[in-house]
Amino acid sequence: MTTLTTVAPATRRIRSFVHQMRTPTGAIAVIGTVLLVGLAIFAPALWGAEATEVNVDLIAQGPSPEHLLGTDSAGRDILLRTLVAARTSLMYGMLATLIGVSLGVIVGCLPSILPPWIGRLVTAVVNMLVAFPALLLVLFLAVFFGQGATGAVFALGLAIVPDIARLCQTMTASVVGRDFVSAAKVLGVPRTAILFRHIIPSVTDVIVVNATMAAASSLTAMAGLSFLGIGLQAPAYDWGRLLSEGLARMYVSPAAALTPAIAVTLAGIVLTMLGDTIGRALGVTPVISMRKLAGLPSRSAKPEPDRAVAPQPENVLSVRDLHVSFPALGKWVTPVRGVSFDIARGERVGIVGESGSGKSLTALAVAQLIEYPGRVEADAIAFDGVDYAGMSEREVTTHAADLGLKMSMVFQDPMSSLNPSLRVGPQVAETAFLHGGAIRTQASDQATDRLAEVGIQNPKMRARQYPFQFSGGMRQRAMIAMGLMGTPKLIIADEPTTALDATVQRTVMQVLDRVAVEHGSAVMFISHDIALVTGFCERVLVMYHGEIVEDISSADLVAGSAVHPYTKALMASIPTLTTDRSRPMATVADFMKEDKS
Amino acid sequence: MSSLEFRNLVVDFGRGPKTVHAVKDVSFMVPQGSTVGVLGESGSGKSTIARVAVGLEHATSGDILLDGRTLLQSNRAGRMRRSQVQMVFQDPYSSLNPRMTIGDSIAEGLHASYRRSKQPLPSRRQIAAETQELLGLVGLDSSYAGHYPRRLSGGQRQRVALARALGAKPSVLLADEITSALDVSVQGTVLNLFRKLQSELGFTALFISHNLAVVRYACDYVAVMDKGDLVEFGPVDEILTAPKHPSTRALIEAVPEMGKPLFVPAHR
Amino acid sequence: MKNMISSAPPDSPDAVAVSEGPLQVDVVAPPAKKAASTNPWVSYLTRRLIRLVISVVVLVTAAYLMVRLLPGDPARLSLGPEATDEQIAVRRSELGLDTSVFTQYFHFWENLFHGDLGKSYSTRLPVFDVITQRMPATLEISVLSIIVILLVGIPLGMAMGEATRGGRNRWLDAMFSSVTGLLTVAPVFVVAAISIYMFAITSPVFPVAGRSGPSSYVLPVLALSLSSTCALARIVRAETFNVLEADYVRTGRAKRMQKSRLFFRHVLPNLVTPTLTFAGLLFGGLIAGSVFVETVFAWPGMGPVVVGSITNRDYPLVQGIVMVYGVLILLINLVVDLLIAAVDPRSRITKL
Repeated sequence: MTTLTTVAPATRRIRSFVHQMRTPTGAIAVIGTVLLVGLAIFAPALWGAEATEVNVDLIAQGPSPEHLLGTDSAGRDILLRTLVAARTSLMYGMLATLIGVSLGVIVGCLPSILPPWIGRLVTAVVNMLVAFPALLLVLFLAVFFGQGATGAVFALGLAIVPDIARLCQTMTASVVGRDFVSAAKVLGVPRTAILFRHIIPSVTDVIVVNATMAAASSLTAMAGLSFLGIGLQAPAYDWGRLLSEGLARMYVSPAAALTPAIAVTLAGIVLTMLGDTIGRALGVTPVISMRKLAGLPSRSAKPEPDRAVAPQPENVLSVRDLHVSFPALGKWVTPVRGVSFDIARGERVGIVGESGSGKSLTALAVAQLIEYPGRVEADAIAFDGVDYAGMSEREVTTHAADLGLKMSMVFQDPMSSLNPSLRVGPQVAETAFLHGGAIRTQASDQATDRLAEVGIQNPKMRARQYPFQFSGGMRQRAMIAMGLMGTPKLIIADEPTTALDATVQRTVMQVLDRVAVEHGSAVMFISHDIALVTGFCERVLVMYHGEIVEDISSADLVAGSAVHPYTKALMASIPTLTTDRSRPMATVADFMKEDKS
Repeated sequence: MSSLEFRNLVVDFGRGPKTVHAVKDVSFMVPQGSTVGVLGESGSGKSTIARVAVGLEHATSGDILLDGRTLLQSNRAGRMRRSQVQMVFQDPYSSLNPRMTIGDSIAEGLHASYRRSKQPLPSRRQIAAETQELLGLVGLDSSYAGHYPRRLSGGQRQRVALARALGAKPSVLLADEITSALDVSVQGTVLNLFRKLQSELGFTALFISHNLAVVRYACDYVAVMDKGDLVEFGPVDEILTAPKHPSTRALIEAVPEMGKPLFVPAHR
Repeated sequence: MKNMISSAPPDSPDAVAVSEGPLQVDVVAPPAKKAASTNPWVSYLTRRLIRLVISVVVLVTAAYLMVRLLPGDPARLSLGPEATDEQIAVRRSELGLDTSVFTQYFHFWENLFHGDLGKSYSTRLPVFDVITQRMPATLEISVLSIIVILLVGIPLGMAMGEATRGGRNRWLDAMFSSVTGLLTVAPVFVVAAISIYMFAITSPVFPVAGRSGPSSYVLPVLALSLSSTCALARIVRAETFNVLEADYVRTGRAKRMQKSRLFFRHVLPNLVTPTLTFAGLLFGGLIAGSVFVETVFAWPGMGPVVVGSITNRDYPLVQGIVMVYGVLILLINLVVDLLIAAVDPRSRITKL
């Protein structure tokens, strides 16, 4: 944030585009486009006359120094004709795109201005037309326009309309749903101003990218119509016509057909790559560049003395000097830096900290669920007597049954953490089936039992339903049930109730409490809600910027015996039902300032 | 200063057998200059009443009155009156247009107040000066006017959203879960700012939240909603210490309280 | 397919516990009751068929209006410029042009039901006969291409998605992206021309013209399916990336199963809907592609008829083609929708 310079989006986009031009794709796209446009402008003037000059002495000759790719059936130079045809090919393709995209944008934006019922009608018609391939529309429209370039251009243009219109509709609909549009409505900003200030600028990027892609396909489609004889008519010629003329004599001089064929393809590719490049520059298609990654910074070799204690076997989990790193924008970032802690058997340990403090990554690393390109390094990640630190993915799989049965995971978002395509019962049963040696029917019976255990009514029927038929609280119970198929020594719960209402949260916490007691499981409970954590756990770890800054019992934390300034600040900044209302809330910033001075 | 009154407000979504009764006959009064908290779980209709007040949803029946005059007229006069009621949204990442500078976003709010008072738009310089003033008011450096939202943290964005709403010189401010998306450590600063602004500018406020402690800290009165019904209304201390309605009680009991075990532990 | 919703899993305890019979019926009923009192499939099919009928009516009406709205007298057009006024008058009454528009429209439908699509202006042959005679050859290469596209595109896309997710195997990624990118852009007629050059001229392996024996199918099907296969593979790969990133796949990984099981049981079912949706669009595109392929390879299908109908301004023929192809596309969409409904529980139960 030190270089907080003001960069307008326009400037930023130009910079981003220049950056993209340095990539191979970007460079080819830009150079290719410049060449293509250059040819379209200058080629007819330079070689136009020569390319149309009939020469009866040179009919259908092979390649020669004068005619690099030979001559056609009228003795005309194939290469020159192909170069000259760049203008017609490009021009008609662009015209069709222009017509199609502008009409498409208008039709696509109409539903957001028109009365709702007309809007719905327009949407319905567009949706129906999208299903029809362009050629059928061309066929239909050719009846009105007749054969020839004009008809073909209009037909192709109109054929683009449904696609662009639909894109516009979905894009505008998603923008209209955003709060800044609501805020503008609340401020009384006129409809047209909302359209031009908020909606259109938000969709232009996507439209520009797709228009470029549409240009590529119009160009090839126009060539296609000319190829079939229903596009450009003689004596005018484009790549499509050249190809169809050449095809007849394919056996005599393949170059006559292949040259225009390659020209069409190259032009199409250049335009597609251009669209791609613009898309990347505008961030429409995000791309992760991980080339030239600097080496992973080595861990600092200075273990804190009291943390260097060897893992104790009576602990269900011992973590020593855990680091988790990810590549980002060409360098490694390390969101978890040197975390060490133990969890005793049956103990409940809470991890608190703000978003980005590394608490979830710590949990995933403990569970061996950090995936490539993420990197986990630690002196020890000992779970139930097995040290997983430094194990390869393959070595970890040999302990699959251990991890699967003894460690259970409850993730944050119950809406997305269950597989939408599978019935709940089999999903719950899977662990027992995989590792518990149960046959399918045993596993499914056990799953029904577990669903009942977590308080799901009518578990038999529920097991046969899909997750979308469950409420949020029920899904989270199902997740807990899933972890009970073995005998969990450790339950890792990552913000399991954040997405739930307080009353639902309470019932889910009760289920978690009961199963932990009944199965004697330790719990690693991650949350940002300190009242919840201290109410449920015996001990709390406070994480700040990837490190554990405080390891304290819940009672001490609540009593105000925290030592680290961040923990103190955090505790003071939480409003409770006894906060003094006459004074401003203490904030973390206040405390950290005091600490520095 | 103004008062805001909800009178027999009913909001239904959809038609026929699938109708969702989001708000069922809700009436209460937000007295001049006070802050009324609206407590409730998701689906209780607490956000809906605010969205109807600013015209983002339509009332099925009933009325919302600003100083005794309806806000639910769809004509120009109605719109003008409605712009005295402004809203700040929950998600700071969705409430600012990523393509507009902070200054332009705030200016959009200022324009609304000029439009309402039927004054001609002042010069750019004047708008810029007022924008700076608003930034100062919400505790942001004036250099932020030229920035784009992507450089701002959630808390900073929420300050900008407040500044934009204040630019319209609202007599009533609706705050819809404005601290829920923020980290605890930032929540306090936004709450302090909200209270400071209210004491300086004297607007009437409706403060929607699911967080009891936050509501208690920020509000004078509280309205408790449950499945579209207003179940309890009164001074915040009274309701939170001695709730009468069972759903209020359930709501209060469900919220974990610092220093108390969540429930009678099943173990030990 | 009805069984997918209402029958109990064939697990022995459920099957044995006969006394639980009535309970089971009761237990299974609620989801069905919510959607409709009848079988959800029946109501879904009914609605989907109604939509099909409406689409067909719109299509036929559009095709009818297409010719009706043209400037000029159809009778004169069908007889050519040398026709006398008397001949035209006779033709007009033949064509029913002297009756009201509604009568004509009604008549048009009546003829359709009798398989009468009018007569071609240029050849005087019934349009219906032309199409039924030509269509099989087109359908042959189209269906073969669909098979190739699905059998190659889907596994290729999935394999590449699994192999190159999260920046793994950069070289493979770069190779796949550039090759399929190039082939997706290359138009069908270019692929056709180049394949003639490669497989018929440089090394004459396959015949390049006509329909005679199995080997004659190779090049047309190759040319017709290549671009679409690559396009499908790219889409499937992108979708695979999306699914692999989903939270529920992480849940699956937390169960520590074999990679193959994770992929086939947890990832694959979620790829079906987007893949089928896109494949449906591709099949529509094959109709256009077949015109080019048939032109290049002198394939005796609809291609030359389509081109000829436009160059000759043979309106009844164009009208017939538009209707037949239009209905074909609507049917493809119907099949795709039904397949998705059969596979995707959400579309089956919620969208019914």
